[in-house]
Amino acid sequence: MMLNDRPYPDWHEGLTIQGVIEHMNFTWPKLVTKVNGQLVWPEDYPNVVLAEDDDLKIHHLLAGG
Amino acid sequence: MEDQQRYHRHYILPQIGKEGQEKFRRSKVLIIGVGGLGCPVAMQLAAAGIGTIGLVDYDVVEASNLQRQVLYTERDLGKPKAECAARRLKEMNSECEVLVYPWKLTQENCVQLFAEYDIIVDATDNFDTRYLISDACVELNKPHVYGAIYEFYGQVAILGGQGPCLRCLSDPERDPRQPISARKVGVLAPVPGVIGSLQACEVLKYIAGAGQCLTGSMIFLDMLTMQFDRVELSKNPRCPLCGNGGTQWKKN
Repeated sequence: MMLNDRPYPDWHEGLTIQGVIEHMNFTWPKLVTKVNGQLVWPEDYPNVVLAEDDDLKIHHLLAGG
Repeated sequence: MEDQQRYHRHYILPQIGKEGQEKFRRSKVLIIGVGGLGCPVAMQLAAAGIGTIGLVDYDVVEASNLQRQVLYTERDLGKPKAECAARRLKEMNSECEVLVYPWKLTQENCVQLFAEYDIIVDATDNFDTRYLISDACVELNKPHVYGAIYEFYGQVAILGGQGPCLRCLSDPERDPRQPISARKVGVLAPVPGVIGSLQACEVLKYIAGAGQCLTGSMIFLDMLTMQFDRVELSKNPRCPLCGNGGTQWKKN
């Protein structure tokens, strides 16, 4: 599995987006996430199970101007 | 100065031409925040021949602004940003009407103000104001040209209209956490210039109907590694503001 264009070494059966966020300790609020190019809403992070060949991108909204 | 000469490089672009330039002249664009992002947005739009530009900002110019806020000079220190910016824009293009609103945007004043403009450019530095802008743009069905920066990173989108609003992406009532204040982090000087110029580019394309705008899409730029990503967005059916098809003014 790829996370932000890099191999994600800790993929396992049943891994969810929420699991990746917690494992990577992504503490920033307001994430924008897509799996294989498809947007995933924040409410669905605990439910989306990732396959071994999935391409996960996680961005966060910025506020600075 | 003759338009034919001044805007020659637009006239000879098939996607813009004389017709597009006339659309620019008739357009009214409101820029919220005349800081790092707002300066390049305003400069690009005034130079491009936008007919009316509104500037909302109640800050004064500080020494720490001069590193990236390219409309201001040392003689502007301590003076109101919106007024200094308006003066510079008029020097750049005397035919551009520049209106100044040196006050804080609030739920009470934003809808009435936004109604006077065709496009709203979000160049603010905090989420509270960004949600205010997004909600008012949904209410009025105006395009919300979103731009934001942090250190070496930036992002641009056109929200509102048929696309998602900011609450679609992240509802502050479900996730009220705030990121680190933009005032407390560094930013490389050209980063707001890049993102602000992209916002201006989207404004001009939107007005002229040229190419594919970032309507319902967001691009993410990492200027430290020069990587780029684009995310296609859509309305969130669970959005508290626009998720059920209708719009309802969000009471904060």
